[in-house]
Amino acid sequence: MEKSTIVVGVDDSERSFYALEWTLDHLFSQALENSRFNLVIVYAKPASTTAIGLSGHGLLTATADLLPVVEQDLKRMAAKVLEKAKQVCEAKSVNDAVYEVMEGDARYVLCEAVEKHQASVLVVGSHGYGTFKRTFLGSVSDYCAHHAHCSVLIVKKPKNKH
Amino acid sequence: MEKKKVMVAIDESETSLYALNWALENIRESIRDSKVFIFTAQPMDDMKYIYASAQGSALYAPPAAAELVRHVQENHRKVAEYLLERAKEICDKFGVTAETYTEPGDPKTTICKAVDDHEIELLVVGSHGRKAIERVFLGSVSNYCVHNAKCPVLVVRKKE
Repeated sequence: MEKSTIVVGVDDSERSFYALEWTLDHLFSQALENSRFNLVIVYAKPASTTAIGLSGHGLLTATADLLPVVEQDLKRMAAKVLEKAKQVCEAKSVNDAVYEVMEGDARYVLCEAVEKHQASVLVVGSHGYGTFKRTFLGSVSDYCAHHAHCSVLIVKKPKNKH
Repeated sequence: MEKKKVMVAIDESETSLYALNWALENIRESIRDSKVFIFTAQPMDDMKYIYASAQGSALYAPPAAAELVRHVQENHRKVAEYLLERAKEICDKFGVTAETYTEPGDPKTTICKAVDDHEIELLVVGSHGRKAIERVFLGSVSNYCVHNAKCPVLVVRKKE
């Protein structure tokens, strides 16, 4: 049976891990070998230049020194997130998921990942990737819902659930 | 254990029936354990025109306008029921028993309200509806649902 691919975007937010768990619970309720889907988990790593820009330091002085430090930090964060994702998957008996770090803005990274893996579904949390918290839908999820070339599942964390 | 509740919102567009088929094919396992609802709204936009024309024809017997309104509403209801019948048949083919229902009103708000009323856990919609404009990436109703439904939303896109 030909398997189709699901890409799940994760970042370090609780909401995106909720989305990952939701996907595992609802779409992978049997072991992965019997499931009709391949699972690919993607972390969008900001480029170190962007990270510095965001923190407001500007690219004025001593940037050359700063870059490798920031880069290392970002790599560490990426590894941490994917390690956590791996634990979540393995706890639900999903042992052959693919874990990837792709560099760039999450919006484009996720849509690119869909193309790369010819995914049939992209799963994103409703917020995360540092969005303005009062909106009902983050800018990344919104972008993906509009632009991904496949079906998109937006998982919202219910507010008052235990 | 309480069954998970999944709702598929349809209209007469090809995309929404595609969405239903896609959902039944791809997430069959999870759906089989869930209670499936199929919902379609009865849009009331043409009512505006009827009322407007009734204003214009104030000289004529108002009952005629009321009669026309009733007739149009009846028609909408029949279209909705036909759609739901077809959807139900598709579900039957996949061995899924679905509960169908319809509400009059603006699709955007009625769908989200239905999600609330029935405590739906997953809403499935097509990416476009009847007015699939080329330049628009996501239909207005689907977009509204993605922003406002209180549960996870699966937007099914037809691959070109």
